[in-house]
Amino acid sequence: DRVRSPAAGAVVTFSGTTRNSFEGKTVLSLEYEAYTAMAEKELRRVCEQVREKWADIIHLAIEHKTGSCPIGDTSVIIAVSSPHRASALEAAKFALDTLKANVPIWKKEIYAESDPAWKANKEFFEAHNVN
Amino acid sequence: DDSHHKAADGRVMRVQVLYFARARELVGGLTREDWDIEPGWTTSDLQVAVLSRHSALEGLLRTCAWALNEDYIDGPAALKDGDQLALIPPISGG
Repeated sequence: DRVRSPAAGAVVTFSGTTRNSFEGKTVLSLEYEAYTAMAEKELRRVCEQVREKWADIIHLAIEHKTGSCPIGDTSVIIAVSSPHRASALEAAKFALDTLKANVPIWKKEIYAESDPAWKANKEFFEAHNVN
Repeated sequence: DDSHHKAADGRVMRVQVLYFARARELVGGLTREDWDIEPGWTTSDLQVAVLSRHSALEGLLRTCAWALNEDYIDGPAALKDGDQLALIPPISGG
């Protein structure tokens, strides 16, 4: 709703939802931890980058949950509006990819059968040149 | 407060190191840690000192990035009094 506009012909919403398995393991729940001040700064940067690349974006909103997140819940929402669909679709994908590379939020998966694990986005390794 | 008088004289700087996620677990749950360091120390000096104090971080460190005052750094940077250096383990948002 935050991104709706009379000028928009397209509103794209992406919801990241928590799924119940990873590589055959049963995921009971997830926990998200954030470096809040820096995450907000990086999220703002994601939005600035989107606007630099797609000049016709009308509104853009990104929200990420922190704390515990039960299975099936939404952990992240990206919503973007533009006059025509191409920009909104591309911008939403770019925003998600960039978020995964740069926004300091960490996800811990709690499994039924094994020890919890902190996950890692491949986008982070690609962007930050680490091993 | 005494440490601030020292910093103003340029003899000692106080900075903070922040720990998150797996790094936080490996340093026994510590989320922020004060360091009194000498003027002229760079982020690299501080990183070496962090590893010295918390050897359990060694394996993880290779996979981490660092952020100074909420911005990623990709090489050594000068430190000043009041700076915050955060150890950023591989992120998994989204």
